Amino acid sequence: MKVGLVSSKGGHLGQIKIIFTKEVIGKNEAVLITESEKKIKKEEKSFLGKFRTYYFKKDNLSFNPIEYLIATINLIRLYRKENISLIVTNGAQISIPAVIGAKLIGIKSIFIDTIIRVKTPNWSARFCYYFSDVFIVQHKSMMGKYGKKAIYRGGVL
Amino acid sequence: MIFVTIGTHPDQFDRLLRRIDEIAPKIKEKIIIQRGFTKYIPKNVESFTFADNLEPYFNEARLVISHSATSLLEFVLKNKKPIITVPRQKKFKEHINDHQVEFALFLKEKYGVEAILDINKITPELLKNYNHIMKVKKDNLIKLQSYFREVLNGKIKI
Repeated sequence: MKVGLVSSKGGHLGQIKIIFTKEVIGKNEAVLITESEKKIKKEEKSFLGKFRTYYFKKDNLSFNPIEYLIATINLIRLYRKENISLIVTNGAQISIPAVIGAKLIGIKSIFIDTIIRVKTPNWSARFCYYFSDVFIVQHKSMMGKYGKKAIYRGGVL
Repeated sequence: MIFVTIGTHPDQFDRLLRRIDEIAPKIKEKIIIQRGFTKYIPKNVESFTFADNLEPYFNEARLVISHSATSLLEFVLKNKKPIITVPRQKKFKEHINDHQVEFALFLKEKYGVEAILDINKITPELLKNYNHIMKVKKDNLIKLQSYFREVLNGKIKI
């Protein structure tokens, strides 16, 4: 299976790296899709030493729907090009076009809520709740904060 | 060395920097501050805005004082060093919401990591004597990783 890991930089990406070690990916393949430090850069570097990394424009989609539309189209292209069969994303805003894009072309997606939210839901997760196939929270205290679909399967801490 | 870091969030966090600056003359140990976008420049302490890699500072530090962001995770999972968190608070306009407070209190409750909400609780004595090292429990991570291993290997259908 080829999994697309979609995450904004900083702590979000940090959590993806903590979860998806070489041992977890095993014989499967992975593609990392994250943000660039600079404005628009789409170069490829390696994730875990052997997988491609794609850089998208920094997570400043804000509330502009056109930005989301462009990001969704770009992500769909990338999913097709890389022949990705599963999306795992943990926010922040980039996860919205990530799960919508996956839904539009029939790829399954898993959303992981950030470890930093212990009591209160956040809006990108709330949004992704409706488009992701599996919705994971990392604290038992977050069960029921989004809806019945949310499941708890451990967390990074 | 005491390393103070407040990250790359654009809101001002001078509450912490001013307090460290104020008590610094009473502390013999060297203090270095990563002050990011905060405009206040400490007078009694060495500081810088950003660095490509904070790891050398984390490595050198005896004690880390940090805002309570997820970027801390990688540090706490790797380093066995004392850490004090000072969450950015919405009421002081240090962040758009109080998620850092939630996370700091979680670390305090589960791992005994000191969380400072009232800035006057940062005292020379605290910084001198604080030596609690958080012992990371890996059980939750192992559980989450085994879930994903099974998903990737097709044992769990989604």
